[in-house]
Amino acid sequence: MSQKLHDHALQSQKQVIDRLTMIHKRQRIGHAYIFDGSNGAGKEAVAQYFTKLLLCMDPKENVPCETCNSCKRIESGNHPNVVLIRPDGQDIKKDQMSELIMKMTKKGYEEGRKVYVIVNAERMNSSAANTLLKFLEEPEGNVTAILLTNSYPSILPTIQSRCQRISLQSMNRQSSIESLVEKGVTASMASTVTMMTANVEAAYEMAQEDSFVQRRRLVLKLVEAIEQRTPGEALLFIQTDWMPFMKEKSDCEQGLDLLLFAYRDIVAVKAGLQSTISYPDQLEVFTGHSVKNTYSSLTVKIDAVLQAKKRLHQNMNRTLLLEQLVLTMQEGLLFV
Amino acid sequence: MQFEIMRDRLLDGLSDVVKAISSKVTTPILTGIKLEITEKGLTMTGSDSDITISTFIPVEEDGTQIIQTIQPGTLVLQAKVFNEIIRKLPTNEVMIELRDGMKTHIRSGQSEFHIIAQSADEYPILPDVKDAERFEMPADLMKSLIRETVFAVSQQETRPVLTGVQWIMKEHELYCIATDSHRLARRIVTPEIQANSPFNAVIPGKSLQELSKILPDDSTAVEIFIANQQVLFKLHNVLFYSRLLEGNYPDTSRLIPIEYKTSITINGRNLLQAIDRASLLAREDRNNIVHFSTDGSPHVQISSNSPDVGNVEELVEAVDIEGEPLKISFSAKYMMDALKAIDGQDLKIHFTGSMRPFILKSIDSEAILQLILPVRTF
Amino acid sequence: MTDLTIANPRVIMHLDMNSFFASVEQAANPELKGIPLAVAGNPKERRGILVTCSYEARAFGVYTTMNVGEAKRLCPNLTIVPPRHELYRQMSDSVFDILRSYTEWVEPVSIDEAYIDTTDIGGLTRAYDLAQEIQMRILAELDLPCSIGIAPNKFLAKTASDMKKPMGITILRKREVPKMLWPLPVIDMHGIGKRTEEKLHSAGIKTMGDLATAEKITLEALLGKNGLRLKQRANGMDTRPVDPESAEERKSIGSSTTLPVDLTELEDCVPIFERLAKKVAARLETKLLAGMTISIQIRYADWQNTTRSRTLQQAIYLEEDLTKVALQLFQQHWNHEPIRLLGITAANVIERSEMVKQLTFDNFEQQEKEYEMDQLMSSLTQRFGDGIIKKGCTKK
Repeated sequence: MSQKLHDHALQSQKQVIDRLTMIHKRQRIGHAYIFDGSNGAGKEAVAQYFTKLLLCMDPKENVPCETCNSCKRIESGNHPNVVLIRPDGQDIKKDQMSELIMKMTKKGYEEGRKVYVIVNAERMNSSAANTLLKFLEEPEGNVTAILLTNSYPSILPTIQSRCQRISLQSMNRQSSIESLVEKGVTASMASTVTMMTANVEAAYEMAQEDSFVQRRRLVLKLVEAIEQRTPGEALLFIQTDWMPFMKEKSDCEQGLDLLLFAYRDIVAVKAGLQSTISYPDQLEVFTGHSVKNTYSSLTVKIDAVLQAKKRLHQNMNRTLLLEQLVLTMQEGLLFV
Repeated sequence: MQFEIMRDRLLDGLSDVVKAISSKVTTPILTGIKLEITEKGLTMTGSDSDITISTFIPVEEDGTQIIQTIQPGTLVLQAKVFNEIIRKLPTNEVMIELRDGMKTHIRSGQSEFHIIAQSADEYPILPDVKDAERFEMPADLMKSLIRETVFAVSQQETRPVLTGVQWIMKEHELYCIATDSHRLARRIVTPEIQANSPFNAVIPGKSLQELSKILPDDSTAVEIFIANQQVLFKLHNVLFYSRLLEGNYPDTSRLIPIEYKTSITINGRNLLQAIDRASLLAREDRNNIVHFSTDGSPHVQISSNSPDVGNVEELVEAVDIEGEPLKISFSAKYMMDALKAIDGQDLKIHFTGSMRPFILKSIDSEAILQLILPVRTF
Repeated sequence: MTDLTIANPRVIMHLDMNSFFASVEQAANPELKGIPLAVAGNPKERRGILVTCSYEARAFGVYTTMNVGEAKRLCPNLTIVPPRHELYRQMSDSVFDILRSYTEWVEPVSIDEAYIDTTDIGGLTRAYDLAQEIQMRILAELDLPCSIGIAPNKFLAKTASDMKKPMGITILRKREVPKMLWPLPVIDMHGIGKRTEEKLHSAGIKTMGDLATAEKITLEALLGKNGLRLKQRANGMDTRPVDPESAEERKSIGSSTTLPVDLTELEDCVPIFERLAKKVAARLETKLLAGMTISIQIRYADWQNTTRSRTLQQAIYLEEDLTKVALQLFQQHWNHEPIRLLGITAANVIERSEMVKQLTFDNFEQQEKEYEMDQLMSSLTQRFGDGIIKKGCTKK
């Protein structure tokens, strides 16, 4: 994370920082925490701050000094008592967890606490999660876990119950849109990217990405194709136009999110709520679609997109998944 | 920082340090080697975070100048690059100098390399050890006690503390104990120099195996310091550190039987070979099991069968058999491991029933004890 | 049967892992990549035999079953490693798990080969893409290469997977059989060994084409029923279905049940598993067997199938043990979607007499009591006959 993103994240999480300060002041440091918050809320920055606070050699008024040898090495990723785990490819695997536990069941390289941070903890696969659970049940030694997630409900309930939850706040979207427009992003693009991430810096970077602009355009075309209700068209569109731009799973997920937001917009328009839509530039077109769709048919379509997102994570074949999605949306019925 | 050093001595030192360097580390600084030059000499340190190896090269040895320290200092250099460069330098004189921030110059003959160093402040801090914690034994004894115990540690992470060997000092005797809960190996030694404070530590089996590789096969003294977080083995100019395991080692003393129903004295080598032959027919995908029985004759019978392959039977002559007749089955591997640890001599095996742990000892020493749990048959 | 096949064209894939053991070693240790590598029973002994070798080694003329000394002569730089069967077994399971994430119609034939019936998952229209996806996933997730043959039946699929290696995908259509297969010598055909070849040669049948057009009577006289089967195969016909049940190398015993209503709660599933475990335990009991590998099958309301298995250190056969393992697997792998079908299978089955249980410090006292009880029971049974005494039921 760049320094700019990092500082921004800490500033916007003042309440959380205050709470961590209290934890440190009372020296009631738990064995395990879950930091949850939307993408871009600054979870990694906050976790690093907390790690520094726990290991700082000279904290002043429960704030890490940022200058001691511990703080500096946490910053550079060189502190031997701190381990950071990230998904290896799609998910966090059992091997990664076993390795982590083998490390944590040894005494710290240096005196003092050991800390491990699991980024995207919702992506632990089930055997990884169960391995971690066993370790959380019988923690050995002076060790603190920090799990980061954008989806608290996806964490195994048995893990949830062993961790203290600390929720990060999302930034107010309207003010994010304004600051993006100030930087020269168009109002409609600003509305879209702020739906994708709560972090203004990350949103700005996204708006500059060609591939993202391309995907946004494709999604709007797909909405057109679906709403025209000529089955052949939409399927052809998937194969010729859509798939080449959705090579990676993450691309595909982004595509599905964009599609979801489009249909939420159509619902919002139908209900007369126009203030916070994701595609203000499509207002007229979406108004047209909102008239042709009933609330229940829109519900079916949104459900279908949500289902598709889930299957994407079960590694279903992606072309097949999109084809099924389009067919379902066009027929307005869920295959059961 | 600036110093000049003999290349061959630098390479010698490096060859030990790089043993601790792993390409799999997640901490960036540990891809490097720490160099610390003082008026006394050069210390180089490498680590994979579990083990750390330091070597010291003195400025002068037996009247020969090895190093010339021009300006003391510390830095961290990429291990792989540094090692490769030193290996390929053209002459035996090497000049290493840190200039303009982190730029390191390595000069030898006509060639000069520039590599970027990292700050030594980023490097992990090694534990302080106190002389009170020190005890001592010869390297060859240490090597054999590792060999006699470490094979019995658990290979599974389900009970992490069992992946280590317990070192515990009781009444001036050092007990080294390893168990994976199916078998146990125990070695007792009396160190020549004793620690002043008692200790009870669990050393990872992997670390001991690594240590064993750098120990010489002679009676060079090894000093051992057991600190809070780590243990240090000090050997002439090489320091070997290992992190200790967290958690309490189970009390194993009550598991060792003291009353026996059947006791057999037998030649270890003969028995080992017979078990080895019997296990030939075992299927590779499962623990291979051999059956062991006595029937009042002066022989023990070893047999094994595998429905797909066939069966094997063999009689091994015993020196002496006392007590009840016995039928017991056990893992051929565990038995062979135990017999190899006791090494060839005539030995005694004490049984207390076919479903109870049994023990093996040399006939003339109590120092090594091997215990095996049998298998239940259905 | 034949009519059925014509009425229902199928698309079968045969997946063949390329020099599997060597590839696994290379995936586990990237330093072994790109170099001549062989796996041999005992690398130190020169008379050890190569179990498999990498493509780099094959380039030197090294082949499987060659002995170590000979291989070293052909390729002095050959790196030889000892086999790690447990690792291969695990990787093999991972490969089959990937296949089963597409369809339940997966039939492993050996550690490195499987048939997949893709008819129900779009094989008729997009088999090539599917094969490519499977191949890429196995490469991406496990770092292992494979070849895939696509054909209307098992025989042709297997023949096809052999045509391009490594990392090949080959489609073999029935109409291509005369052109592609008939010119080949009979020994190249799967299912024909040296002895069969000799017999066929004695009747003047040299090529697969000769075999395909040979008189039925001749073949039947020569090779019996197998002769007729071979003639059919040579004509590109093979009616064997892909049978996931025959999957296990060793026998397996399983039971599954389709539920009257889709289940969504754990407590509703528990009694189902208990009932299935009881059935499986009873079948194991009558044959005096025990299972080393326990797997569960889940079919969701949307027809997604999941099979998850665990290989135990210890074979089990008791109802309560089966229930326990099945429920553990279920809780670990159920994604909380509504369930239509559940099943339990005990695989890797062994004879009870072959079964042993390694005692541990934690269990030997308990086991000793059970053992003595068993001994007592069998001695009573011997003296007074069957049925004199039965174990009481202990509910835990």
